Amino acid sequence: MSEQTATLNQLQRAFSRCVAGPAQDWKGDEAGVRQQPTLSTARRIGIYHYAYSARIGDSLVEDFSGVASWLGEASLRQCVRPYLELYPSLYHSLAEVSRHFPEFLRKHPPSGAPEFIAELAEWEWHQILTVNTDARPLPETRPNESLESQNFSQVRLALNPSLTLFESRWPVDTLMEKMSLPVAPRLTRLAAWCTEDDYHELRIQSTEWNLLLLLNKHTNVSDFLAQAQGLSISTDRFSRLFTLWSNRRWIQGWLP
Amino acid sequence: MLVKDFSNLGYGCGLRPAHTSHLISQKPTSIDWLEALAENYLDWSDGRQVSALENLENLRNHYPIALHGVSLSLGSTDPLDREHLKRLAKLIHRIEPAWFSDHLCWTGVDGKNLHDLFPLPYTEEAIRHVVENICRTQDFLGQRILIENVSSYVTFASSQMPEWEFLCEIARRSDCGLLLDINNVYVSSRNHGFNPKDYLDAIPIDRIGQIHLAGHRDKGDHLIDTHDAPVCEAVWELYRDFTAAKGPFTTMIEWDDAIPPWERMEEEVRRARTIGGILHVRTDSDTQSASTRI
Repeated sequence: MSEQTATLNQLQRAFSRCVAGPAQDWKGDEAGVRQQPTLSTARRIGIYHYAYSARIGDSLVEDFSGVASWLGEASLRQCVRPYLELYPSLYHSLAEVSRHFPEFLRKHPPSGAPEFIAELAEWEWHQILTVNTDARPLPETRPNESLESQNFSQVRLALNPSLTLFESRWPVDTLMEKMSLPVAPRLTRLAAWCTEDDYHELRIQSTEWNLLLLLNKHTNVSDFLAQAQGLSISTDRFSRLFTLWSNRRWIQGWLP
Repeated sequence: MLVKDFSNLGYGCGLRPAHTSHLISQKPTSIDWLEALAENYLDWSDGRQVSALENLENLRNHYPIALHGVSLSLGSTDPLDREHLKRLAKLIHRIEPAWFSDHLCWTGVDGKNLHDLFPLPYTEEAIRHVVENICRTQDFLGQRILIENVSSYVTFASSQMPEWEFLCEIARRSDCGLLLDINNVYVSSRNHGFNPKDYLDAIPIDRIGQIHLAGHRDKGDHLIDTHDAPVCEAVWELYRDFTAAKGPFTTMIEWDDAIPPWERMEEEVRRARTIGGILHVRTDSDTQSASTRI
């Protein structure tokens, strides 16, 4: 900041404190706001102050409908200001403001929140990523390279980065709406992905999960097959799974 | 060089997810062009690319697209965010919009985004600062941009001039274009007690690239710019007088919340077209030449 903008900078910092800080009976002197007839200065500044928490609150309620269901919307909105104090938005898009909310809930769970609330929030955030973002391209990908049979064993395999694999101590996929029955912990492994028009998710069994983790190591085909043998999976089942996952475009292959 | 090369695109509306499928499948001819919110299509901070970009590219093949930003924060005393500008430049390169616009405002300071469009004090200091940022942005993007007047609820004691003088002086010194939001003029006029016609009379027409029309909420002793309702009669009247005297201009309906069915949106666009005074017929050449207009 140059000396030329010192006054402007002071004004912006002071006004930001009015917006993001605690509510009070603003007189206007704090941020150089002019007194005007028809509406008090406190109400004028208050429009910005309350719009701030309402806007971010709307975003959190929309992104974490499951969490809102368990906490109650009002209780979730009470988290907005403490959340923003600890994790102010450094982002250009409102879409990313929710990024640290699961971490916030893990470190500062609201009073009376169920034990699984942070993991449910994390699952909801992963769902948002799955729906709203595309895969990042794989490093060193040469997609136009023809895969000839003699070098097939050297083809590197990986999961499509748009596929979300999520492991939780709780059955979070069943907790998107509050229920009256008690919830017991249960190790739950989930895959979420999008096709052209639809979002999909399903539970993954233990052996399949381990195979998918192997795929995620970017090993080549021959190494992958060697490691997969240690998972005690029949050739038939392995073949079926591999075909299924390829059809779903979960698997990517490329020549390094 | 004057900004006369912001071509008239006709009458359009904001591209909203609720209408995207309909627009892609039906390609309605009731609109001539679309305005897309740039931040909805920029790469995320972790490098992820938004999946909606394909839809925008699809629509770009059928309609001219203008990109509209909300987070350049041209008035903030923070340095311009070069990473954001790079992402923006990448999007502009990919979509080839008719133009890019953002607001005459600041959205935060010290690196924190408060996700609102805050007014500036109307001072010489602020003019110099914003002009420098607009010029840097235009140099970086390699094109002239439009800046939009925001609605406001406060004015600052240090202001030395009315808002319209501030806006016009910034446009003159930076040689940028103007996105004139007539609803924002009306909302601010009610909140601050000035005559909206004084504001509109001061705007140099050769700088106007586009007009926004939108709805607001009347809270009795003040108005809130909500974009969740039809354009009110008073704003239609200002638009009618303005375009009759100085128009026609590229115009769009901004409806961002409580989004109506498509047919209701079409009604608003039709009304703007009727009042705006020309029947703009979109042709293939409009779409093809959109990228070369600036």
